[in-house]
Amino acid sequence: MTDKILEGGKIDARQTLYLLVTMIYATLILFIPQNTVAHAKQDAWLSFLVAFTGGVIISLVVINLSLRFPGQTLFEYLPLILGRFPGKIIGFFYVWLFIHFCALVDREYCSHIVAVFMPETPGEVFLIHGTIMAAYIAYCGLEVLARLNQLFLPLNAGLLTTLFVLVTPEMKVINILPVFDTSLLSLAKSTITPLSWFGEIVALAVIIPYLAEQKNIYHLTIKALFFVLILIELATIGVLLVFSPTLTSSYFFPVLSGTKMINIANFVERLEIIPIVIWVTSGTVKAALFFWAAALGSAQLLGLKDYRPLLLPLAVIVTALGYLLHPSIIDLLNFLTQAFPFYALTFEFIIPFLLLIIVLIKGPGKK
Amino acid sequence: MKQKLFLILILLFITINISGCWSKKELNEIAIILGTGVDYTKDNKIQLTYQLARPAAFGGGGMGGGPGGGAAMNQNITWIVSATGDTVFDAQSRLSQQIPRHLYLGHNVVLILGERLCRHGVLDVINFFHRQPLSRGTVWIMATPQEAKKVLESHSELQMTSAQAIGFLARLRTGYVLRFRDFSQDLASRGTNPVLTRVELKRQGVAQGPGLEKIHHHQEIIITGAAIFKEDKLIGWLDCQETQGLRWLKGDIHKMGIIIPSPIYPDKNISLDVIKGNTKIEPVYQKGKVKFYLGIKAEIDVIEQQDEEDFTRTEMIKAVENITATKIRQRVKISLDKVQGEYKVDSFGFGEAFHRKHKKEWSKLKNRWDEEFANAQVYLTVKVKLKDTGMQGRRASLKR
Amino acid sequence: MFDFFKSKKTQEAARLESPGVKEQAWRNQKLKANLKENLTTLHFILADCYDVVFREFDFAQLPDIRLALIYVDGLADKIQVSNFVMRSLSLEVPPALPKEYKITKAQAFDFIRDRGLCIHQIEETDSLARLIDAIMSGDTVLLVDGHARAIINGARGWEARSIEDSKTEAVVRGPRESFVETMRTNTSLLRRRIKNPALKIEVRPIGKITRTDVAVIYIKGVVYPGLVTEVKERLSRIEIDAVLESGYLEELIDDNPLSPFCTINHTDRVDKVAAMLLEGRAAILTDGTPYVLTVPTLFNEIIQSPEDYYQRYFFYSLIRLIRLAALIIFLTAPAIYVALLTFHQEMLPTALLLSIAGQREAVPFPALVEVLLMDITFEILREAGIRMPQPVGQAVSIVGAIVIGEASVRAGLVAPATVIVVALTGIASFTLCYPGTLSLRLIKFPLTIIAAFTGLFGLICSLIILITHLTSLRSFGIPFLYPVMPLSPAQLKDVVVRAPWWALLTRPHLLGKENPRRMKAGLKPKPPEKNN
Repeated sequence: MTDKILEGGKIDARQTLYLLVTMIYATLILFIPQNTVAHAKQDAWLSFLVAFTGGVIISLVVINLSLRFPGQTLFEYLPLILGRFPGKIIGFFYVWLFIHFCALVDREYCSHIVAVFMPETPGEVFLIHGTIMAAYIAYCGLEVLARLNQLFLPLNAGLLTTLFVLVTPEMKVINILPVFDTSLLSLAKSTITPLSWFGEIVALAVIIPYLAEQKNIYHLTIKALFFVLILIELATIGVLLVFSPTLTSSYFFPVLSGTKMINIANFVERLEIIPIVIWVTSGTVKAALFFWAAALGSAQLLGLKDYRPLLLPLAVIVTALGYLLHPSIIDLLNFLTQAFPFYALTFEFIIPFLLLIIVLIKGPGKK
Repeated sequence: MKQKLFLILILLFITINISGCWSKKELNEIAIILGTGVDYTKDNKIQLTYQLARPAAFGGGGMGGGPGGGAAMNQNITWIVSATGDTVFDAQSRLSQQIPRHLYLGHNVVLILGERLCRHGVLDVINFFHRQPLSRGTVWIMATPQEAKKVLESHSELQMTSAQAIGFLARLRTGYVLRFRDFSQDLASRGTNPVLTRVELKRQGVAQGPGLEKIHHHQEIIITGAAIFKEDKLIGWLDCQETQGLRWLKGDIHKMGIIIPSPIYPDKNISLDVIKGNTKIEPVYQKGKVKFYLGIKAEIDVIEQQDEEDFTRTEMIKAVENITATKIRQRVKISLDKVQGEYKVDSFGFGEAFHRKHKKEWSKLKNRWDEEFANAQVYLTVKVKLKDTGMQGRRASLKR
Repeated sequence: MFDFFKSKKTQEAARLESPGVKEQAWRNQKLKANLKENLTTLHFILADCYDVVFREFDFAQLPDIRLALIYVDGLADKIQVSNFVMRSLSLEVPPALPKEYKITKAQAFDFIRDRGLCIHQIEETDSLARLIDAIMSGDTVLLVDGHARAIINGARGWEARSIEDSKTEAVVRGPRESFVETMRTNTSLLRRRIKNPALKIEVRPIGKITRTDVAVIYIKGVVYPGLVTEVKERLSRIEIDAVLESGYLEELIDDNPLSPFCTINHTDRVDKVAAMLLEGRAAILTDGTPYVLTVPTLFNEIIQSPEDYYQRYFFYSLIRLIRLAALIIFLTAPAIYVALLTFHQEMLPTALLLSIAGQREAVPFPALVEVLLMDITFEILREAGIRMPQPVGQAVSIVGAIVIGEASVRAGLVAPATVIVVALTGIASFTLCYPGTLSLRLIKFPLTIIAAFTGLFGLICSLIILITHLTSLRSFGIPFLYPVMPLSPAQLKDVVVRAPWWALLTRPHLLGKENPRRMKAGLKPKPPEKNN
């Protein structure tokens, strides 16, 4: 049943770990501090903790489901659970989801570059850039993607930590005091968006069959989510300490604004290139991963031998989507914070959860 | 087929790359802004002043200009332009019609606000500098009792431009200075009212050099205290002495000298330097009354003495510490009286301290905080420790 | 006999009929027993070969047997041939033999082979093709009348360049010898470093016309499993008429023919090749060139030099980091400079920006044109420095660089900062391993142009694509960017830094998996244990 010709690569435990980290933190770090801080004020770090817990639950459901169908991706076992036709339909929903994720990532960093660095340039330029990169990496396959990320993730984590260290002279501890000053409702509001981002871990259902060894996958995923938590807390607490909550929530890109505050000895200053490096590299890996997942998924659903011919049409779709979906950065932000969580969590949690229940009752797959 | 596809992709890539030229600005197409001033004119318009660097004067090597980047004589280094408009951007667009280059805000060092504007309220103009992607939170923001335009129309003897000079002066933290980010934070917080650095263009020093004997009226921008705001409106000025007290209250203690009378020889003085200090605010809420207990701790060094006190003796050290504590208390009192008593605003961030301590009460008080603050009791305890006496313990003396 | 062949008419005839490279029928022929017939055939094949010498003489022991020596003048060692072949056969009786010892005509061949020749290396053949190949490669062939066999005397000796310092990879400390054009010398240089029968040298001729010897060298039991078979298979696929340099082979056996990156490194340093072999690699030696191919190649070889392993590890770890910095500067400095100047002025410190702005005030070109102008000038000077006749070589190129740099700055055509950036870029490339820098030198230009159009964002995108491309490359099955991607943290100790020898316990993990251990553990020098 499994078609190994489609993707021959295998990735090892470390690569998987890194890949999962990048998959989630890449965009989380770009926009999310702003929205979360707007609701949770100085307790934003707490909402990420809650979101992390939610992410762990989602990942447990997804992994449990996937391990019942060893060697098969989500797209291959969906028909087994739901029957051929409904399975394929749900499968195409997931392909759509991955395409949409990819388009969103592209759109996010295109908006960011346009807003911050090149206001006069039309966004499509960066959109096409982003898609070409993602498509090229997806063309090279999962193995190359995973290896690429082995360079980028340590680099980015290091750069983020460097930024944090460099900006410490600007920090005031009183900015995150008093703690627990937020009502439960605002906390819940602030949690739901990061949770939907943590929920992107659902892509595991496509990656798991390509893991070289699968015995540590639970451990690995939770570790990955934990690393994401550390990175995002580093960024959030950093910006909160530098700007007070009110100021943080007024900026579109708090991490960038925080970087602009760095000034050590009038020489180590103006380091805006570091956030761009972090966002472009991690965003590209993330977009490429979803791009690959979408291409692989559609190839598997259509019963093709190779997913690579699908990359070009998909690239066109992704670029068009990225361009058409949101007329402005405000619209994008509103979508991300208001509609996206419910839409994404349906696919990230509710459907896998229902599938798991069906499997438990009907019992296809391995125990 | 594959080659053709590849070719198309490459062409596409080149095309979109070339389209990137939209944002291209060559270095000699931009006018680098070093200082910005905003005034409010008599006819209620906003007057924007830019101090632009004239790059040719910064040549360094190349033809003519000597090494070391010093500007040649009789050559203008900066160009000060201003325009008025209904908003800051309106004024700027008028300016850009007159200037043959793109105005470039990315290297702005200082933002100076004129007194009329400050009294009118700064909210009207501040936002422009937030939304600009090129504007930075590290810009020094200052208020002047003069016209901001006049202040920027100056040059510095030591630095290349007066804007850079005031930037370097601010970095030394000899007065109360703050940056755009801090000001925005204070402006957005109910628990504290903003305070701005007060700068003035004053006659300062005498420039000397061959052929320069006749030129004596050099004016530099200097820091002369602080400006007290109520929300976004200026309500009064502090002079340098009062600003010192304000800095003690805000816990912003860097490079501060204290002169005290000698404990034994009343007509003589001792100079001290504060090397470390901190201020702890302890808000108390009792029976609807707000009280603050302030604990100030300072570590001081002896810098000079006019007579012959012997600092190797413990009693002397104790005496100096006590007098210093009294002196600090006096200074703080002066500022407190002026700001709390006269201006009736919380410029010190006491409200934020209160918020951190009493979360529930704060939500009731925050909307009338300034009144609450004006009636609050402030209790001071000052602890001073003498750490060091420089290169001498006691001075060489005739008397012993 | 000779007269017969020297007659004009027959020579004409021979020229007409003498086989060219297309006619290979004679290659299947065998030698005849009749010397005259053999010589006719040989003259036929070797017609108009001015450097081939035919020498006929009578055998001293049995004067009615005629012998013929055939060799290429200049390739055969004439002293050896005349002293130990001609002299012993035409004049002297082997001293150990009694005077009355007589041999028959039928015994003559074996007698000559076993007792008559004072040559170390001889071979017997009856194939005309082998005979011709031997003559052409410098051996001396002895034909004996009445026998359909020939003796190939391995008495080669020709004018060759002596062993010298490596011209392309100089070291301060380390062996000075480098390979030369002669394969036998080269193999001896290697054998002298690795005195072990496990050092295998397998030779095959490649090139239909040139018949160039190509040797695959490896250490059995250390070499990456399957590598030798793969190399030999790729070599045997080659059907080409000429191999004049190892570069021919390099492009024919490359894994990634469409990539600008060369995934087969070459060197003329003996110690480097020996070290490569000891890491589990294989080397491909080509006759006629000092440049030896080493496979598989990893990207990190670009920042490695044999000297790293000879000098103190602390300092040479720093040097490696410097080379890494040089690599990054070399590839991106012009691009970053252009991007900063045209798009991201806010990322330069104010004082620096004002200073550069001042310098560029009078420059009539956009930053891109300025940088490209200087960069191309630099490349021209560099190329001129290589091509120029030796005596005028380096001095002129350096002076040219200074004069052009200085003059263009004075003329206000170029800003001094640009000259600094371009010069730094050029100098940075010299710190790296030369073969690897070629592709980067090529990529530098598009990077600069992209940076001028889309700023740092475009530069980062291009670098991502570049790294993706590098990640997808493989050299003989080994990922090109190993051990960085895929990451193998334990192997990083010999990539960006050089760990001390007592810590380099294992060979590079992937390459040396056949025989991972390099040395005993715990060799770190310790103070002697005290005797109580």
